[in-house]
Amino acid sequence: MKEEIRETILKELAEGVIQLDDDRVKTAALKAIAEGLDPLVAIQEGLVRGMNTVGQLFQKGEYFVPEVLICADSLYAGLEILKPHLPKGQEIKKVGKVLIGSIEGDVHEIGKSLVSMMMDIGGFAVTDLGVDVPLQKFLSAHKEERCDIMAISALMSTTMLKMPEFIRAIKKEDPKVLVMVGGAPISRELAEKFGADGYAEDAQGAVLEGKKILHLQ
Amino acid sequence: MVRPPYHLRFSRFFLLQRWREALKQSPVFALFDGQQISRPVCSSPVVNVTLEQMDLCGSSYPEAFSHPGHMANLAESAYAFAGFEGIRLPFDLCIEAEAAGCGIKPAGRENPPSVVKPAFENFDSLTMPPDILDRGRFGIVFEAAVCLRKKYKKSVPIYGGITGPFTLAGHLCGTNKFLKGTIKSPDTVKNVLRTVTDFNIAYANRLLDAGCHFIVVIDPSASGDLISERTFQTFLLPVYQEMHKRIGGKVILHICGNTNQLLPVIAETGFEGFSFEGPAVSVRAAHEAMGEKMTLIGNIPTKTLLMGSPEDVGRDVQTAVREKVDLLAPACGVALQTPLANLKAMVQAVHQILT
Repeated sequence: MKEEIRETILKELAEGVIQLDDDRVKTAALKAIAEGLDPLVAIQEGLVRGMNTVGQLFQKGEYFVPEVLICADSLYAGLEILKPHLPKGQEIKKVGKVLIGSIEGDVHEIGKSLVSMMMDIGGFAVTDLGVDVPLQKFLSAHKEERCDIMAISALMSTTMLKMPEFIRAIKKEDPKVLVMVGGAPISRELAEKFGADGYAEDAQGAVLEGKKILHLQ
Repeated sequence: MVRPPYHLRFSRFFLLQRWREALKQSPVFALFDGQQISRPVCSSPVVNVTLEQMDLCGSSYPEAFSHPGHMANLAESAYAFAGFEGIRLPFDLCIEAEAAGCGIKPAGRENPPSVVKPAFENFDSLTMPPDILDRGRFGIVFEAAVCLRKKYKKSVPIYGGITGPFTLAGHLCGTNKFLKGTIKSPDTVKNVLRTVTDFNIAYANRLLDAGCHFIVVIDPSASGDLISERTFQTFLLPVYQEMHKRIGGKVILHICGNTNQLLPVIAETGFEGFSFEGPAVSVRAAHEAMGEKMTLIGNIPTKTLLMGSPEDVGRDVQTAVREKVDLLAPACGVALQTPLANLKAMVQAVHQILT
């Protein structure tokens, strides 16, 4: 395949994601398959690269939550087309397993879902336990999944207070698992005080922090 | 006032005293009338209930959500035990969503109820039944407001909190979907907001009729953490202006988180007060944007109140007074575990500045 065509398709995929245009992404994804472009390359160098830019725009305050949500929808629309064409055995390589959820008593979803989504796109295998997740659910999910990172979110100072207890119990159950926390009332300083291994201010930061604490970056 | 013995109860002296008592007016009213007041005031338009207050006043969660007497009792506890010059009710942001049919996780002793499931599958099916204010827990709030107004007249301001249109619309059709709608189907979203706003206005006016002095519009989903200034301007400014026009009383807007970018737009809403969260929002920027248009309310961080010492609280109060925050209040609803001593420290710090 010509280098030019390859570049155009990848650019279309990335731009489609960045411009919140799912139709553009779908068209580009179909073209990628028609032209015989490696689906894995299309995903990683097209879609995911586009989403990384979105993450940066979000950090800079140029994109906000509605934009990011729609960008992610566009990415998933492209993924749906490309995934079935991945050759057998050539899975998208995952850098680590993450269990994520909002802490017990907290039903705030938006921030947690953004992190969950960005980590998924960023290469982690993410299991989202939803909101208002009790300790037992984290622990039993870990028993089944054996995750590398547990990510806990709290948006209220009330529910945040449960974090030290959660972290202690998780570490007791499995000292190897790394715990990341986040949410409006939490700061890095507090996260450290609670005994967490990682903290991030926003979704894009969470991906980087996750990779950092797993020593991948 | 001490109740006089029966044979003196109608004497000229006591009648005069009772009349004076009835006319006593909190300085908060003057503040909202745009007058300079001689001393800083500590008064919270955001929820200020703690577990300690529950124990002291004998009314606690979850009864306080469903029983007017308990609601009134707990609402006045911040005034009674911490000395806040204000009474705030109700204590949750679910009343509206619950009555409209959203899935609710019920309240417990240490948690207010919360919305867990939207009521409407799609934007088009969203309606607010005309008799909605006669359903659900609205009556409890009205009754509590009537009692409190009878008891306090204008000596203590009573704040009636309502869920703002953006947040309520999110509750009703799912916040993620609603946020995406602001880009994907802006006209439909505007329609939804109009329906919700009409309801908001009707509810606010009923609260005022029941006895609330001020309406507090709590709209956390309209935070600059979630939406852009442009989205705020396009979708919320007209809606807030409409509310300002049609609500027959003074309105305070409370938005959590970072609202720095939104300040100039908020100044255009016409609302009388803006309650904001410190330290995310700079007081100076707020003053520059609002000028004389709005009373600035805030911004004692809930984290200091929850985890700091009374001295820390005192320091934050001094900073806030120095930066000319008009009305001293917690920056956001206080956490239930907040020590009462820290709320008292807020009031004390204000008094110390006086002397």
